[in-house]
Amino acid sequence: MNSSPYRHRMLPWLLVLPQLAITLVFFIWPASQALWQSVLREDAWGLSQEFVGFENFADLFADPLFLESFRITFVFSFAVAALSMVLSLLLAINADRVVRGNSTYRTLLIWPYAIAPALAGVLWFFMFNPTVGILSWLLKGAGYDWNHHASGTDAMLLVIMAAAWKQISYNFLFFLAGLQAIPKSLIEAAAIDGAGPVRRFWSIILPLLSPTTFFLLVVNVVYAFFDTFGLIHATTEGGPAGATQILVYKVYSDGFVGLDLGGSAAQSVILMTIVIALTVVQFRYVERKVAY
Amino acid sequence: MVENRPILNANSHILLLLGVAVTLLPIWITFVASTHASEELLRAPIPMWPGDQLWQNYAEVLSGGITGAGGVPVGVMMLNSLVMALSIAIGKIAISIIAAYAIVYFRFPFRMGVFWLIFVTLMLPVEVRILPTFKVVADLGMLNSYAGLSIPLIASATATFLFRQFFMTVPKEMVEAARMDGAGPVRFFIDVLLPLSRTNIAALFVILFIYGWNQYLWPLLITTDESYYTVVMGIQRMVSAAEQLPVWNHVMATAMLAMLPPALIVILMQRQFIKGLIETEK
Amino acid sequence: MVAGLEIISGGEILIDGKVVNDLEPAERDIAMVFQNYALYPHMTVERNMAYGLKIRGLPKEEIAERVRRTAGMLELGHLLDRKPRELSGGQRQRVAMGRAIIREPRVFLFDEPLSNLDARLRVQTRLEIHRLQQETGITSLYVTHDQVEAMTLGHRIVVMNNGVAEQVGTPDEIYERPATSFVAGFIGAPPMSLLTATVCDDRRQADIAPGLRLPLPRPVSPGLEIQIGIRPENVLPCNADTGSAMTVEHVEVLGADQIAHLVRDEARLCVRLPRHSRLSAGDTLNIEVQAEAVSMFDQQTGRAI
Repeated sequence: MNSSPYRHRMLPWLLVLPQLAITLVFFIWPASQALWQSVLREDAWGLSQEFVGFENFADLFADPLFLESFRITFVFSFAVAALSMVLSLLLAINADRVVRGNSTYRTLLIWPYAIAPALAGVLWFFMFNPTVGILSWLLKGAGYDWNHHASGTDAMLLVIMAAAWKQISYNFLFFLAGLQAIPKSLIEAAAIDGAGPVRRFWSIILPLLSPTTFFLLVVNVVYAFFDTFGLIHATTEGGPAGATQILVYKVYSDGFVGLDLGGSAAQSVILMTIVIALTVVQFRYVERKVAY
Repeated sequence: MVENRPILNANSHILLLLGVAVTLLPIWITFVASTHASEELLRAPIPMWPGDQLWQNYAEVLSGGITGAGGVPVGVMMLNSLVMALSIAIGKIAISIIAAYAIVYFRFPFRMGVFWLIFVTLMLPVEVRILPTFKVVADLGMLNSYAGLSIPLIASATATFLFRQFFMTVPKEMVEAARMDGAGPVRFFIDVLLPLSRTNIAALFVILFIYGWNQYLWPLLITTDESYYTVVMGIQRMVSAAEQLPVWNHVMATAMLAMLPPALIVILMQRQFIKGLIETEK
Repeated sequence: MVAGLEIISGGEILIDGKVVNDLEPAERDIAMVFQNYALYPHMTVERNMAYGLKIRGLPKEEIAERVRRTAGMLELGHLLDRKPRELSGGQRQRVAMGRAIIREPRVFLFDEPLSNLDARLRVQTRLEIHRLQQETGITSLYVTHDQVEAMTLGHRIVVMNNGVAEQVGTPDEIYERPATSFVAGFIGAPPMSLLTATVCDDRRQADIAPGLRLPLPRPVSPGLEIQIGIRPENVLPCNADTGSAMTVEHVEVLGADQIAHLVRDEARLCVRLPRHSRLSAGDTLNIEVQAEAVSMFDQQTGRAI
């Protein structure tokens, strides 16, 4: 706006005050506390605190449990992102193809977005439950003895499936919007040039979809990093034997169960760094719109 | 599409139906399980067709809850969830829209500083700063209260950002015309800007209601008093109980109930939902 | 700035002899018609027009009466319940005017109100604005890039260039005696032909090209380089023995008349000719110019001499 907007001294401050107060009290202050805690160590009775510099971080990176949790987080995140994105792209392409029933499919596919990750976990947990689960029963019939209470792999697969399932609707919506934004004339031009549907997909549609794909990749990874806490907590609780202990879960259990404040804070700081890095990457790419 | 090959079309329909089936299968199984007596859910294979215990199961969980999981009636939990989701959605929209209004329509010192301060919160999900945030809430005496459940989650960079983007697309002549007509900042906001933001508010409401309803970690931390349990987190207690007791029918009925309000909102407000989803992520 | 929407960089603005620099827009008793109309999209035509009055706290009956009268004046009566998006461009423009008129302000501001209309509607609305201004008799400040609007509507025109007022005057003054070469080169379609000329020793003529000499209205010091401007209608074709020969570069046929672009060395001139003149590119035309019809400008400052 070039012209002078309203000239008031107090009013704008009054208007931003609630937002600012909540931001400061519940976001900035705790975040700086976490930063501060991460360089302190408390004795076992919480009586004295000692400044230890980066020792908490050094301890973390020397701790095999933490490194394992790091690895698990990455495996989990990328598996969820890949599985869910491939499935939803497949569905979106077909929904974009069919003229009739397009919006019906959309309605049927989008509403799982509304399901809380924790609930998604519970549903899949029930289907795979070793005693009553319908899917584990089918697997048993096929000769596989599924047990996510005992097998780390089974537990991991369970949370990946549940997390990916919940995210399909979100990815589907964005892929569909992305596909519908591709000018039909481009596709027609390629068809006239003799490119068949498969060829067109690889040489035209996929490159033009790359901004959407990249955006969704970041969103899905962030989702898998943080929003799946409930899913894991409600089902495997990080187990068995830490096989599904992703970083967010570890921050929680170290801090609230293990009461290791410094270590938990240091992990928080690492997580924050990851989120900020992801956000920055996302913004830079969104701004450049991803070169085709 | 370019070609209209019936076989390809049929393929697409089959694939889509398969996708829909995979998406709906867990819901169907949940629903079916919630309509049987607990005795039928002791061992696989469980029935795949609805039973006749629907009303009984739902009535029991709504009023009675599950022993071994605190015994709080699910009806109470649903009410807690509703209060939390509504306060978060309405609170977020209210404080974001006025903050965005101040940032776009006023010049004041540190304006951009304020904007960035708010923007930074976008990068700090609750999950990464749980311990210190929990401590702040505890120190303020807000544990086990609706205020504690909702206020810390009310600040929202996303909503502020969205409203800011929208306000910047409103032609500046609109505010000039209003000033000519003698409308001060408050009147302009109420008479012009607010009605113009209606669709944006509706879209955000859908997204934020779901966000609030589906909160898990936060209520888990700050409610030790069972009467403040929300349904999404309460179900975790029931699952643990169901590992010992044959109450899967009740757990699944609760799961259905927990899904119902957000799912209804998505289906009934589909247009606003899609708009909200796509705009908040821009 | 006049409206009070922008901060004043210097000087004073007076309305009815009162300095209004520090008054809010609404307190200045001004109404404005915006280029993009800026109608409130969520209000009906009626509420759009009534909004300002409602804020001023006028009684309901009076507002209704004024809306009725204004709508009648602008023939908007049947559209009162519509929203702006259900109106055509011309109708929206009328609502925007209605919103201004209904206030009965001391000053009207028009900010290029016709530039979003198509050519036919523009002419029609221009006449309407003219009629309304005369009926209401309210001082109006009308900003436009279109000189036809300026010439037809204005009692006094201010020609602005880069934020500086080049000339203030009636339409006739501005057309006949442009104060600067900018005004000369701006007003008129086509505008004055501007030529660089050197004053001859007799101080009453100037050379614009070798062998091409034009008379000057007043004597000027000899040898001086000046700019001279000539309106196309003041260039007259004549016989070979009295006039100077120029080559026709091209001819634009406008309907009622024709504009011929003439050239001789570096000098270029436009001439307005009757419709049936049979001229085409490459022909030679002899012209003469009356001394009174020539304007002279300082080469450096561009001011009229």
